[in-house]
Amino acid sequence: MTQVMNNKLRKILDGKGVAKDLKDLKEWSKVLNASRCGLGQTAANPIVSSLKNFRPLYEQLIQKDTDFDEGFDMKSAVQASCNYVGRVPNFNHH
Amino acid sequence: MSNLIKFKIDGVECMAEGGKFIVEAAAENGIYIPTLCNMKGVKPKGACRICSVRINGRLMTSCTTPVTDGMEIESESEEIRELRRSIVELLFVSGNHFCPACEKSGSCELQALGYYYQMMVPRFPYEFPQKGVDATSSKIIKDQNRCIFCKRCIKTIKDEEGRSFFAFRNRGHRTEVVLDPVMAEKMDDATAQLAMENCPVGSILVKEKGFDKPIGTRKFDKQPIGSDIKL
Ligand code: SF4
Ligand code: SF4
Ligand code: FES
Repeated sequence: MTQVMNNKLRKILDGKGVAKDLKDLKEWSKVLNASRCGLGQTAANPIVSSLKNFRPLYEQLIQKDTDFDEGFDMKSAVQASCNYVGRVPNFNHH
Repeated sequence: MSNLIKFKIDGVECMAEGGKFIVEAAAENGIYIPTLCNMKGVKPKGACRICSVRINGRLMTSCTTPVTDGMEIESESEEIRELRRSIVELLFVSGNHFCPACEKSGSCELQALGYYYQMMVPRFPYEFPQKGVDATSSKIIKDQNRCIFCKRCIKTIKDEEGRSFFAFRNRGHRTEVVLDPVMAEKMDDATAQLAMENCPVGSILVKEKGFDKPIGTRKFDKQPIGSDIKL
Protein backbone atom coordinates (compact mmCIF):
# COMPACT_ATOMS: atom_id res chain seq x y z
CA MET A 1 0.00 0.00 0.00
CA THR A 2 2.76 2.42 0.90
CA GLN A 3 4.25 1.72 -2.52
CA VAL A 4 0.96 2.52 -4.25
CA MET A 5 0.64 5.77 -2.31
CA ASN A 6 4.24 6.70 -2.94
CA ASN A 7 3.73 6.28 -6.68
CA LYS A 8 0.65 8.46 -6.53
CA LEU A 9 2.48 11.15 -4.58
CA ARG A 10 5.26 11.11 -7.15
CA LYS A 11 2.72 11.55 -9.91
CA ILE A 12 1.45 14.68 -8.17
CA LEU A 13 4.95 15.99 -7.48
CA ASP A 14 5.80 15.48 -11.14
CA GLY A 15 2.97 17.84 -11.98
CA LYS A 16 0.90 15.06 -13.56
CA GLY A 17 -1.71 14.91 -10.82
CA VAL A 18 -5.36 15.86 -11.11
CA ALA A 19 -7.97 16.65 -8.47
CA LYS A 20 -9.01 13.01 -8.20
CA ASP A 21 -5.48 12.01 -7.18
CA LEU A 22 -5.74 14.10 -4.01
CA LYS A 23 -9.06 12.49 -3.21
CA ASP A 24 -7.64 9.02 -3.84
CA LEU A 25 -4.70 9.60 -1.53
CA LYS A 26 -7.01 10.49 1.30
CA GLU A 27 -9.39 7.62 0.61
CA TRP A 28 -6.65 5.01 0.13
CA SER A 29 -4.89 5.95 3.34
CA LYS A 30 -7.76 4.26 5.20
CA VAL A 31 -6.54 0.83 4.17
CA LEU A 32 -3.44 1.36 6.27
CA ASN A 33 -5.54 1.64 9.41
CA ALA A 34 -5.82 -2.14 9.24
CA SER A 35 -2.05 -2.60 9.40
CA ARG A 36 -0.56 -5.01 11.85
CA CYS A 37 1.82 -2.62 13.59
CA GLY A 38 2.02 1.02 14.50
CA LEU A 39 4.53 1.65 11.76
CA GLY A 40 2.02 0.71 9.08
CA GLN A 41 -0.91 2.32 10.81
CA THR A 42 0.80 5.69 10.87
CA ALA A 43 2.61 5.38 7.55
CA ALA A 44 0.08 7.54 5.72
CA ASN A 45 -0.03 10.25 8.38
CA PRO A 46 2.45 12.61 6.70
CA ILE A 47 0.35 12.54 3.54
CA VAL A 48 -3.00 12.78 5.30
CA SER A 49 -2.00 15.62 7.62
CA SER A 50 -0.11 17.59 5.00
CA LEU A 51 -3.14 17.29 2.73
CA LYS A 52 -5.25 18.65 5.53
CA ASN A 53 -3.00 21.48 6.61
CA PHE A 54 -1.20 22.44 3.42
CA ARG A 55 -3.88 21.74 0.84
CA PRO A 56 -3.11 24.86 -1.25
CA LEU A 57 0.43 23.62 -1.86
CA TYR A 58 -0.93 20.40 -3.30
CA GLU A 59 -3.49 22.27 -5.36
CA GLN A 60 -0.81 24.39 -6.95
CA LEU A 61 0.79 21.23 -8.24
CA ILE A 62 -2.18 19.57 -9.86
CA GLN A 63 -3.63 20.22 -13.29
CA LYS A 64 -6.92 22.02 -13.05
CA ASP A 65 -8.18 22.03 -16.60
CA THR A 66 -8.46 18.27 -16.92
CA ASP A 67 -9.71 15.36 -14.87
CA PHE A 68 -7.55 12.83 -16.63
CA ASP A 69 -3.92 12.90 -17.61
CA GLU A 70 -3.37 10.71 -20.67
CA GLY A 71 0.36 10.79 -20.20
CA PHE A 72 0.96 11.44 -23.89
CA ASP A 73 -0.43 13.41 -26.78
CA MET A 74 -2.21 11.20 -29.30
CA LYS A 75 -1.94 13.65 -32.16
CA SER A 76 1.78 14.15 -31.93
CA ALA A 77 2.30 10.40 -31.49
CA VAL A 78 0.33 9.66 -34.68
CA GLN A 79 2.16 12.44 -36.49
CA ALA A 80 5.52 11.04 -35.43
CA SER A 81 4.74 7.51 -36.55
CA CYS A 82 3.31 8.78 -39.85
CA ASN A 83 6.45 10.78 -40.48
CA TYR A 84 8.42 7.65 -39.89
CA VAL A 85 6.56 5.47 -42.38
CA GLY A 86 5.88 8.26 -44.83
CA ARG A 87 2.08 8.44 -44.53
CA VAL A 88 -0.28 11.35 -44.19
CA PRO A 89 -2.19 11.28 -40.89
CA ASN A 90 -5.98 11.47 -41.08
CA PHE A 91 -6.94 13.23 -37.86
CA ASN A 92 -10.61 13.58 -38.75
CA HIS A 93 -11.21 9.96 -38.07
CA HIS A 94 -9.65 9.81 -34.65
CA MET B 1 -18.50 -28.23 25.34
CA SER B 2 -18.22 -26.88 28.82
CA ASN B 3 -17.53 -23.16 28.60
CA LEU B 4 -19.99 -22.05 25.95
CA ILE B 5 -20.15 -18.30 25.55
CA LYS B 6 -22.42 -15.95 23.67
CA PHE B 7 -21.33 -13.22 21.29
CA LYS B 8 -22.75 -11.29 18.35
CA ILE B 9 -21.60 -10.91 14.78
CA ASP B 10 -23.39 -8.09 12.97
CA GLY B 11 -26.16 -8.40 15.50
CA VAL B 12 -26.62 -12.14 15.03
CA GLU B 13 -26.49 -14.14 18.26
CA CYS B 14 -23.74 -16.76 18.14
CA MET B 15 -22.41 -19.38 20.49
CA ALA B 16 -19.03 -21.02 20.72
CA GLU B 17 -16.47 -22.32 23.10
CA GLY B 18 -14.66 -19.45 24.80
CA GLY B 19 -11.10 -18.78 23.67
CA LYS B 20 -11.65 -19.89 20.06
CA PHE B 21 -10.43 -17.53 17.39
CA ILE B 22 -13.22 -15.44 15.92
CA VAL B 23 -12.92 -16.86 12.36
CA GLU B 24 -13.41 -20.39 13.66
CA ALA B 25 -16.15 -19.43 16.08
CA ALA B 26 -17.93 -17.57 13.26
CA ALA B 27 -17.58 -20.55 10.93
CA GLU B 28 -19.19 -22.80 13.52
CA ASN B 29 -22.15 -20.44 13.48
CA GLY B 30 -22.33 -20.45 9.71
CA ILE B 31 -20.77 -17.05 9.24
CA TYR B 32 -17.98 -16.72 6.71
CA ILE B 33 -15.17 -14.28 7.35
CA PRO B 34 -12.67 -14.33 4.48
CA THR B 35 -9.10 -15.41 5.25
CA LEU B 36 -5.93 -15.76 3.20
CA CYS B 37 -2.96 -16.23 5.48
CA ASN B 38 -4.83 -18.27 8.05
CA MET B 39 -4.77 -22.06 8.06
CA LYS B 40 -6.68 -24.33 10.34
CA GLY B 41 -4.46 -25.89 12.97
CA VAL B 42 -1.55 -23.53 12.38
CA LYS B 43 -0.68 -20.73 14.77
CA PRO B 44 -2.22 -17.59 13.22
CA LYS B 45 -0.03 -14.66 12.28
CA GLY B 46 -2.45 -11.98 11.16
CA ALA B 47 -0.39 -11.09 8.12
CA CYS B 48 -2.87 -10.44 5.34
CA ARG B 49 -5.52 -8.41 7.25
CA ILE B 50 -8.33 -9.67 5.03
CA CYS B 51 -10.18 -11.04 8.05
CA SER B 52 -10.32 -7.63 9.77
CA VAL B 53 -13.41 -6.92 11.84
CA ARG B 54 -14.37 -4.05 14.09
CA ILE B 55 -14.67 -4.72 17.81
CA ASN B 56 -15.37 -1.89 20.23
CA GLY B 57 -14.48 0.58 17.52
CA ARG B 58 -11.11 -1.00 16.83
CA LEU B 59 -9.99 -2.94 13.79
CA MET B 60 -8.79 -6.41 14.78
CA THR B 61 -7.91 -9.51 12.79
CA SER B 62 -10.41 -12.23 13.52
CA CYS B 63 -7.93 -15.04 12.90
CA THR B 64 -5.79 -13.91 15.85
CA THR B 65 -8.42 -12.61 18.25
CA PRO B 66 -10.19 -15.07 20.56
CA VAL B 67 -13.92 -14.63 21.20
CA THR B 68 -14.98 -13.54 24.63
CA ASP B 69 -18.36 -13.53 26.32
CA GLY B 70 -20.63 -10.75 25.13
CA MET B 71 -18.30 -9.61 22.37
CA GLU B 72 -19.94 -7.58 19.60
CA ILE B 73 -18.27 -8.03 16.26
CA GLU B 74 -18.85 -6.01 13.13
CA SER B 75 -17.93 -7.95 10.03
CA GLU B 76 -20.15 -7.19 7.03
CA SER B 77 -20.54 -3.43 7.33
CA GLU B 78 -19.95 -1.46 4.16
CA GLU B 79 -16.73 -0.08 5.67
CA ILE B 80 -15.27 -3.51 6.40
CA ARG B 81 -16.36 -4.95 3.04
CA GLU B 82 -14.69 -2.01 1.33
CA LEU B 83 -11.53 -2.54 3.34
CA ARG B 84 -11.39 -6.23 2.40
CA ARG B 85 -12.09 -5.40 -1.22
CA SER B 86 -9.22 -2.90 -1.15
CA ILE B 87 -6.87 -5.52 0.24
CA VAL B 88 -7.79 -7.96 -2.51
CA GLU B 89 -7.27 -5.28 -5.15
CA LEU B 90 -4.00 -4.29 -3.55
CA LEU B 91 -2.73 -7.85 -3.74
CA PHE B 92 -3.61 -7.97 -7.42
CA VAL B 93 -1.74 -4.78 -8.28
CA SER B 94 1.33 -5.45 -6.18
CA GLY B 95 2.11 -8.70 -7.98
CA ASN B 96 1.63 -9.86 -11.55
CA HIS B 97 -1.51 -11.95 -11.73
CA PHE B 98 -2.49 -13.12 -15.17
CA CYS B 99 -5.18 -15.55 -14.14
CA PRO B 100 -6.10 -16.99 -17.55
CA ALA B 101 -2.58 -18.36 -17.92
CA CYS B 102 -2.16 -19.40 -14.30
CA GLU B 103 -1.97 -23.04 -13.24
CA LYS B 104 -3.84 -22.28 -10.03
CA SER B 105 -6.71 -20.51 -11.73
CA GLY B 106 -10.01 -21.85 -10.40
CA SER B 107 -8.40 -23.19 -7.26
CA CYS B 108 -6.77 -19.95 -6.18
CA GLU B 109 -8.03 -18.29 -3.02
CA LEU B 110 -7.02 -14.81 -4.11
CA GLN B 111 -8.84 -15.18 -7.41
CA ALA B 112 -11.84 -16.63 -5.58
CA LEU B 113 -11.94 -13.59 -3.31
CA GLY B 114 -11.71 -11.35 -6.36
CA TYR B 115 -14.90 -13.00 -7.60
CA TYR B 116 -16.44 -12.96 -4.13
CA TYR B 117 -16.05 -9.19 -3.97
CA GLN B 118 -17.02 -8.81 -7.62
CA MET B 119 -13.84 -6.99 -8.40
CA MET B 120 -13.77 -5.80 -12.00
CA VAL B 121 -10.64 -3.68 -12.15
CA PRO B 122 -8.54 -2.71 -9.13
CA ARG B 123 -8.92 0.94 -8.14
CA PHE B 124 -5.16 1.12 -7.62
CA PRO B 125 -2.82 1.45 -10.57
CA TYR B 126 -0.99 -1.74 -11.51
CA GLU B 127 2.59 -1.66 -10.37
CA PHE B 128 3.83 -4.32 -12.77
CA PRO B 129 6.83 -5.05 -10.55
CA GLN B 130 9.79 -6.90 -11.98
CA LYS B 131 9.74 -10.31 -10.39
CA GLY B 132 11.40 -13.57 -11.19
CA VAL B 133 10.57 -17.24 -11.40
CA ASP B 134 12.87 -19.68 -9.65
CA ALA B 135 12.89 -23.06 -11.36
CA THR B 136 16.23 -24.30 -10.06
CA SER B 137 14.69 -26.87 -7.74
CA SER B 138 14.04 -30.26 -9.30
CA LYS B 139 10.64 -30.50 -7.64
CA ILE B 140 8.95 -27.14 -7.72
CA ILE B 141 8.71 -23.80 -9.45
CA LYS B 142 8.53 -20.70 -7.27
CA ASP B 143 6.79 -17.94 -9.19
CA GLN B 144 7.43 -14.66 -7.36
CA ASN B 145 4.94 -12.82 -9.53
CA ARG B 146 2.10 -14.48 -7.67
CA CYS B 147 3.38 -14.64 -4.08
CA ILE B 148 1.25 -12.72 -1.58
CA PHE B 149 3.64 -13.20 1.39
CA CYS B 150 1.09 -15.05 3.48
CA LYS B 151 3.85 -17.21 5.04
CA ARG B 152 1.73 -20.33 4.87
CA CYS B 153 4.58 -22.21 3.19
CA ILE B 154 7.12 -21.01 5.74
CA LYS B 155 4.94 -22.08 8.62
CA THR B 156 3.84 -25.45 7.32
CA ILE B 157 6.49 -26.90 5.03
CA LYS B 158 9.24 -28.19 7.31
CA ASP B 159 11.53 -31.20 7.55
CA GLU B 160 11.54 -33.73 10.41
CA GLU B 161 13.72 -31.43 12.45
CA GLY B 162 11.39 -28.50 12.07
CA ARG B 163 13.48 -26.54 9.61
CA SER B 164 11.47 -24.53 7.08
CA PHE B 165 12.00 -25.09 3.37
CA PHE B 166 10.92 -21.55 2.63
CA ALA B 167 12.20 -18.27 4.02
CA PHE B 168 11.96 -14.51 3.61
CA ARG B 169 14.61 -12.64 1.72
CA ASN B 170 15.10 -8.84 1.55
CA ARG B 171 12.79 -6.28 3.07
CA GLY B 172 10.25 -3.65 2.17
CA HIS B 173 8.95 -3.84 -1.38
CA ARG B 174 11.86 -6.10 -2.35
CA THR B 175 10.68 -8.82 0.03
CA GLU B 176 10.56 -12.31 -1.41
CA VAL B 177 9.61 -15.72 -0.08
CA VAL B 178 12.22 -18.08 -1.45
CA LEU B 179 12.93 -21.78 -1.38
CA ASP B 180 16.13 -22.48 0.55
CA PRO B 181 18.50 -23.99 -2.05
CA VAL B 182 20.12 -26.37 0.46
CA MET B 183 16.78 -27.55 1.79
CA ALA B 184 15.44 -27.81 -1.76
CA GLU B 185 17.73 -30.77 -2.43
CA LYS B 186 16.03 -32.71 0.31
CA MET B 187 12.49 -32.01 -0.81
CA ASP B 188 10.51 -35.12 -1.66
CA ASP B 189 7.44 -35.40 -3.88
CA ALA B 190 4.96 -35.42 -1.03
CA THR B 191 6.42 -32.25 0.48
CA ALA B 192 6.38 -30.53 -2.89
CA GLN B 193 2.75 -31.49 -3.37
CA LEU B 194 1.83 -30.22 0.09
CA ALA B 195 3.65 -26.95 -0.52
CA MET B 196 1.62 -26.41 -3.68
CA GLU B 197 -1.63 -27.22 -1.90
CA ASN B 198 -0.88 -25.00 1.10
CA CYS B 199 -0.06 -22.00 -1.03
CA PRO B 200 -3.32 -20.05 -1.44
CA VAL B 201 -2.19 -18.76 -4.82
CA GLY B 202 -0.15 -20.15 -7.71
CA SER B 203 3.26 -19.20 -6.39
CA ILE B 204 4.37 -22.75 -5.65
CA LEU B 205 3.89 -25.25 -8.47
CA VAL B 206 4.95 -28.87 -8.62
CA LYS B 207 7.05 -29.35 -11.73
CA GLU B 208 5.47 -31.19 -14.63
CA LYS B 209 2.01 -30.96 -13.10
CA GLY B 210 0.74 -27.76 -14.56
CA PHE B 211 -2.95 -27.69 -15.27
CA ASP B 212 -3.87 -31.00 -13.70
CA LYS B 213 -7.54 -30.26 -13.01
CA PRO B 214 -9.86 -29.57 -15.93
CA ILE B 215 -12.18 -26.57 -15.85
CA GLY B 216 -15.35 -27.48 -14.05
CA THR B 217 -13.64 -29.63 -11.44
CA ARG B 218 -11.49 -26.99 -9.81
CA LYS B 219 -12.02 -25.89 -6.25
CA PHE B 220 -14.05 -22.72 -6.82
CA ASP B 221 -15.64 -23.54 -10.20
CA LYS B 222 -19.14 -24.29 -8.96
CA GLN B 223 -19.34 -22.62 -5.56
CA PRO B 224 -17.82 -19.32 -4.50
CA ILE B 225 -15.27 -19.28 -1.70
CA GLY B 226 -16.85 -19.54 1.75
CA SER B 227 -19.85 -21.59 0.55
CA ASP B 228 -18.84 -24.48 2.78
CA ILE B 229 -19.27 -22.21 5.80
CA LYS B 230 -22.26 -20.05 4.95
CA LEU B 231 -25.57 -21.29 6.23
S1 SF4 C 1 -2.19 -16.86 -8.35
FE1 SF4 C 1 -4.41 -16.69 -8.35
S2 SF4 C 1 -4.80 -14.52 -8.67
FE2 SF4 C 1 -2.68 -14.89 -9.22
S3 SF4 C 1 -2.71 -15.30 -11.43
FE3 SF4 C 1 -2.89 -17.26 -10.41
S4 SF4 C 1 -5.10 -17.61 -10.29
FE4 SF4 C 1 -4.81 -15.46 -10.68
S1 SF4 D 1 4.65 -18.89 -1.74
FE1 SF4 D 1 2.48 -19.11 -1.44
S2 SF4 D 1 2.32 -19.90 0.64
FE2 SF4 D 1 4.36 -19.05 0.46
S3 SF4 D 1 4.18 -16.94 1.16
FE3 SF4 D 1 3.94 -16.90 -1.04
S4 SF4 D 1 1.74 -16.99 -1.36
FE4 SF4 D 1 2.12 -17.66 0.74
S1 FES E 1 -6.48 -14.39 7.67
FE1 FES E 1 -6.42 -13.09 9.39
S2 FES E 1 -4.84 -11.74 8.85
FE2 FES E 1 -4.79 -13.15 7.24
